[in-house]
Amino acid sequence: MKRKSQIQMGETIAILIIFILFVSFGLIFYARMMEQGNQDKREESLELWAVQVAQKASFLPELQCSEENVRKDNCIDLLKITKAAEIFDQRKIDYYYPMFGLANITIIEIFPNDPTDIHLGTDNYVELYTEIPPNDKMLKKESTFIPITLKDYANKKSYFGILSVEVYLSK
Amino acid sequence: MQKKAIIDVQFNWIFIIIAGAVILLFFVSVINKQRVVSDNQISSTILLDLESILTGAKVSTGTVNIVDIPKKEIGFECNKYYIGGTNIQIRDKVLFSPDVIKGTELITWAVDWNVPFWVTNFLYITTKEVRYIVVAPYSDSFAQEIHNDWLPDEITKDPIIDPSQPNIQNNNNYRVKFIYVNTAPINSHLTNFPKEVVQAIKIDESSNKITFYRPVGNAWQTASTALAPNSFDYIGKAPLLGAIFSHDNIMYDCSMKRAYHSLNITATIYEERSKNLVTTSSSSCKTPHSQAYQNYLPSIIADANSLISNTAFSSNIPAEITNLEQQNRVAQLYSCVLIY
Repeated sequence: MKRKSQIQMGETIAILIIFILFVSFGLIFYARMMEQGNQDKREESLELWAVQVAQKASFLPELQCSEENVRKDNCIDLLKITKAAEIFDQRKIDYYYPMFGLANITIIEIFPNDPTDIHLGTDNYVELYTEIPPNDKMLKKESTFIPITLKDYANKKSYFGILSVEVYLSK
Repeated sequence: MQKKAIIDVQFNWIFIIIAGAVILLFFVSVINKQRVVSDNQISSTILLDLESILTGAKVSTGTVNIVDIPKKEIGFECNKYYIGGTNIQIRDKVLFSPDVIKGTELITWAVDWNVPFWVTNFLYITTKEVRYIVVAPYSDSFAQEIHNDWLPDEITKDPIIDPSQPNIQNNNNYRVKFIYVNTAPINSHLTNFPKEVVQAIKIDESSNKITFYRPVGNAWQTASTALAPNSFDYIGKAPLLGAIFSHDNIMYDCSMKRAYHSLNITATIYEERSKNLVTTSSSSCKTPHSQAYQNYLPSIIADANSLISNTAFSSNIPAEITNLEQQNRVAQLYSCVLIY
């Protein structure tokens, strides 16, 4: 009788152990699924954030062309760029980081892009804002390229360029 | 032997009950945790969608957007908006709203702020469940302009109420904002409303001043100055609308500080632009640009700096706006590159 009871107890404990094992496997699988879901969500929010950053960057009063206070979409005033780049650098932490986060915003001249006729920076290229996570911490990058007009009001000339906005997801 | 077997059987049952209870408790706690996680996920999805809506609304001015939202309370504070424990930072947005948004419809609207060049867009958020009451003499043209032209038709606004009308009916709105234009706040208007529901501002057109009021007992009192000033000069239409849509002086002060930061940066860029144009322009074009970068823009930059540290500072910006507008017209007259 004593032996029978011991066997019964052993059976119950074995069933419990197996049950706990199954539940643990289930929980581990579920946690992995959740983690993947969260990762997908973070990537999805990065895409949304990338659109927002691109929108903000292309409508910055610091850069946008205006005549009689009428703003021109997708147009950047070359007379504003040098000072804007300086201010972007000075106010990066307190003003622009909350606006753009981990991102890289660059203006590139595409046409005529003549090396003997520089309108933008020192190489027809201006990096306005750079806050890039280290490679080992970077999870994903979203790039947006916006075609823009680079307007030189002083010489009444226009050039063609790209506003490149890269947004990063870090660990 | 029989007694021992009975004890064994009883122990078995006790063991099963305890193990069952532990397993049951475990699953109940998992379900509860999952419910919290799911709630947070829903809140964060709503907030992320709202963030996109607000960014979109911010760059398209003049259009009133009515957005359907899930029936969740969205709280607004100086630097963040939140649902439950999940929040999103307001960041660079110059945003004016009640302290809480209830209901299933969100009204968003943006107006550009020009000083006289475009600085930023002010974003206003409200809902149809918030009631706006403009109180002013019927003959007051400024009040009529605010009520008929500036405030959108999509919000819940009463027809203009004359100060001689002593009582206003309570329609059970969760927030009611009284806007006294060129008239002092009237205490009898508080009679039918619970105190936690109402807020008021007084707009004085002649001095360009906005003063925030709160109900204390049965009377209006100027808002506390412990955390922010209660009286501000307004520069144009956008800040005035900001005061109408802001919950209180603290939230108004907070958003205006962000706006003055933008003003400081934008004016600095225009200053440098005019400075560069002076060197490349013909003699007739030098004057407007040199006036702008030597006099008016530095004055705006200095005033913006003072306003960042004290939003109640009485600035000279309205006068400088007129001067800059005038110089821009001169530049236009001589076919020069414009100041802005």
